[in-house]
Amino acid sequence: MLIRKHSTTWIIIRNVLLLVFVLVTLFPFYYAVLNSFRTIRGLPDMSWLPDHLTLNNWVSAFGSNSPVPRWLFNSIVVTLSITTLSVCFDSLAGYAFARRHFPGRNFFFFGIVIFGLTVPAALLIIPIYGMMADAQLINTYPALILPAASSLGTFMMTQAISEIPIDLDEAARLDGATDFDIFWRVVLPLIKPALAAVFIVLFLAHWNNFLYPLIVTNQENMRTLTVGLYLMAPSDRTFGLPPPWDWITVSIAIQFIPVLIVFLIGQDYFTKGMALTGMK
Amino acid sequence: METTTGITAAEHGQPLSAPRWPGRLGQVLRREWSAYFFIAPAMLLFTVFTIYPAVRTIYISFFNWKMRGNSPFSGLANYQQLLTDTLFQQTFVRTIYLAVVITVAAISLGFLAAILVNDLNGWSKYLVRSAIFIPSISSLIVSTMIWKSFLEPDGFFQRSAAFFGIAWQSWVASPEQAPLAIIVLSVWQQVGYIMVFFLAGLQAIPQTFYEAAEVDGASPWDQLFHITIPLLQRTTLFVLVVTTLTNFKIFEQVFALTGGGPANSTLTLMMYIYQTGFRYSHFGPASAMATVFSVVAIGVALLQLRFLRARFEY
Repeated sequence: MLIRKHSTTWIIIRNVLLLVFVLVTLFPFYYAVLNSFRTIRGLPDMSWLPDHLTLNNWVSAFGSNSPVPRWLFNSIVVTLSITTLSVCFDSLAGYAFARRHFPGRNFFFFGIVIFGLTVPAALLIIPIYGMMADAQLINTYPALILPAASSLGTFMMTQAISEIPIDLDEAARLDGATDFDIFWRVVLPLIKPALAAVFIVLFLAHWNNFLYPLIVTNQENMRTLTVGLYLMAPSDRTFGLPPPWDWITVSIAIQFIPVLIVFLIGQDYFTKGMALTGMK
Repeated sequence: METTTGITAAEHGQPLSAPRWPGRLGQVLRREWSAYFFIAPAMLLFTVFTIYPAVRTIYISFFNWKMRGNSPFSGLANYQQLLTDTLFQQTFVRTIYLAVVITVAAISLGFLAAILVNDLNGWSKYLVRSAIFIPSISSLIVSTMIWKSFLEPDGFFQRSAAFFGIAWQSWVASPEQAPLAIIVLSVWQQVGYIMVFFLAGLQAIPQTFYEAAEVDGASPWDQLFHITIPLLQRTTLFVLVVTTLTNFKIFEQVFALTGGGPANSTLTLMMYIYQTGFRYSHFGPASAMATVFSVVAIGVALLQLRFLRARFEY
């Protein structure tokens, strides 16, 4: 079979296949967000068309006896704090790794970046739980926010800072700038796009994080959206009681919609971020 | 003149590439000591939340460890137990099987998507690429919950099948089909991410190669097999490493969709470690498993990265 490029046959096949890809990709999200705006008659018996529209689920999910607003609040506080801290710490470390030739540089780089990027969560979760329990930090914001340094972030910042010409540092140094001046006034302004990229990548990672908040919280009011959402779903834990579909569908929507918005606004930065991981 | 940071301007002015030897260690330290302050916050957090827990897990794996009270030293007992734990061995094999199937399927579809999207231009390319990428940035828990509602008895799939007169049973309830549900969900979630790497790889291929081939009368298939695929070798290997490792560590999908069941048919290593540690509080055996698991994961990651570098550094 020979299909010539830009022939009608090829364009038809291409467009049909792409349509299938896009439908399969987007339909679950469309359906989930749509369901948060529909009368719940047991989730399964709903068609894929927008019918029985209502705002009752949202009213109920943000009502006084619903845990959803608290989870949303927790997710926002935790994600913004940990991401902001992480971008600060990662860019500081990235500057040192990209620019300074201090003894032990390779050792520390290996420790923070290579080991951090390859070590699986399985090796860490039990002692982290033990540590948090010993420090009486289970169910607190510090437990959720403290691990605010990222191997990926540090690696990306190191890459980004390596890319700017070193002459600028040298010139500033000759003018008597301190090391922190160089970092703050020379390097940072030049890597603003990389900072945005790292912020977006880490924001999404922390907003979506599940296992870590699951192990350091066990009270309903300290859960984050992903964890709370999981715990509401029908399972052997719910003892056959009808699950609160109104809260579940709204939680799914308020977890997903910010991801979508951040991605659409920051897509170019996000792509730049992926490029910074050197993985292109 | 001493500045506030204690470093003289003259020392600042030295070129950073100046040769260093042991006798000059003191001088280097005088010039570079502030670098330690720059890495201090990240290094502190890494020591506390990554390095210490990793070492601690290995330590715990030699004890009959309890969160509270006395934990007697047990030598290699936890590791010996793994050798006789048939569920652990089955789970190990199952995890590798799932990782390979998901990776091969996701890479094939990701490659196909990249070829198709790369043929578009302008805003349609941008839109389609973004759409296919969305599952990769969405929370795994949210995606899994949505798929769970589709797959459940009387869920969207069953109802749609019934509409077309097809018999459909719940995948998640059957030990034969539950792994398939995990595979489909994971592939769906990963295709967009893989596609983006292939798209970047495709854009790096000079257009002149295709023009020359066209002049020589090469068909699109020839071009695909003799230009595109060979030149994407590096991208493919990279994606293979990353995706295999991701799938070896697969957790959230299993945790939220099947919990490892039914009849352990979807139990993966990460899930087994979580259950052993957090559900049954067998911290010693869980730590031994986590250690074995991590040695494999880190070993594969480092070996393959080294292989990649050796092969492509020219």
